[in-house]
Amino acid sequence: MPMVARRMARRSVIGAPVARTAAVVGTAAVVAHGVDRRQDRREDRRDRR
Amino acid sequence: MPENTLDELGPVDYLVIEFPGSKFNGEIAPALLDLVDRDIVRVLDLIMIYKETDGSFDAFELSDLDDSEAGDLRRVETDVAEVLSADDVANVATALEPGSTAALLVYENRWAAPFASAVRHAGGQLVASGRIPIQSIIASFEADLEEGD
Repeated sequence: MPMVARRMARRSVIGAPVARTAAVVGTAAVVAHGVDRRQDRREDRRDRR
Repeated sequence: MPENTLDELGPVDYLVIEFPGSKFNGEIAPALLDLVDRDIVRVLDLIMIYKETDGSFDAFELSDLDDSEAGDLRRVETDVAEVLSADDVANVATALEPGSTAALLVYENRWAAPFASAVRHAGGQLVASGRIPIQSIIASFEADLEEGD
């Protein structure tokens, strides 16, 4: 393993175990839905008043 | 590390980017270098890991890669602080698919340092931080939609 020797004695910074994350890609549409939801809540609050 | 003190260091994250069954060729370099050039991130470490089909692995420093593999990534070499240990590399390698190549990247979120400084000067303190999985956000919105049905 041709890593530099300094890394062999170095303390781990990531730790174990390293879990794979699901390859889900967020899209702008997800955020847009959130903006819509916020708008809905705002209107709900206005209606309650 | 050059110039910055620890007090000015932004949050540090790592990413493992796997290229299944293919050889890394530095194509991600322009996107990463764009973030570096805009001072959004600073690359603190970068190691390439090649995992064989039998589960064994090899790891290579950026300086060990040839130009076809490293591409323009060599530009960040001067900032690399070698924060990763051999144990880190071994732990990450266990998560990789056999027969894949991965870039293990450690970076400082430079954009956060001035904000954190402003928070401290305002008397605030960080209580918690974390990453919300995209799956959780999607699930939350889907639950909303189902309630609306």
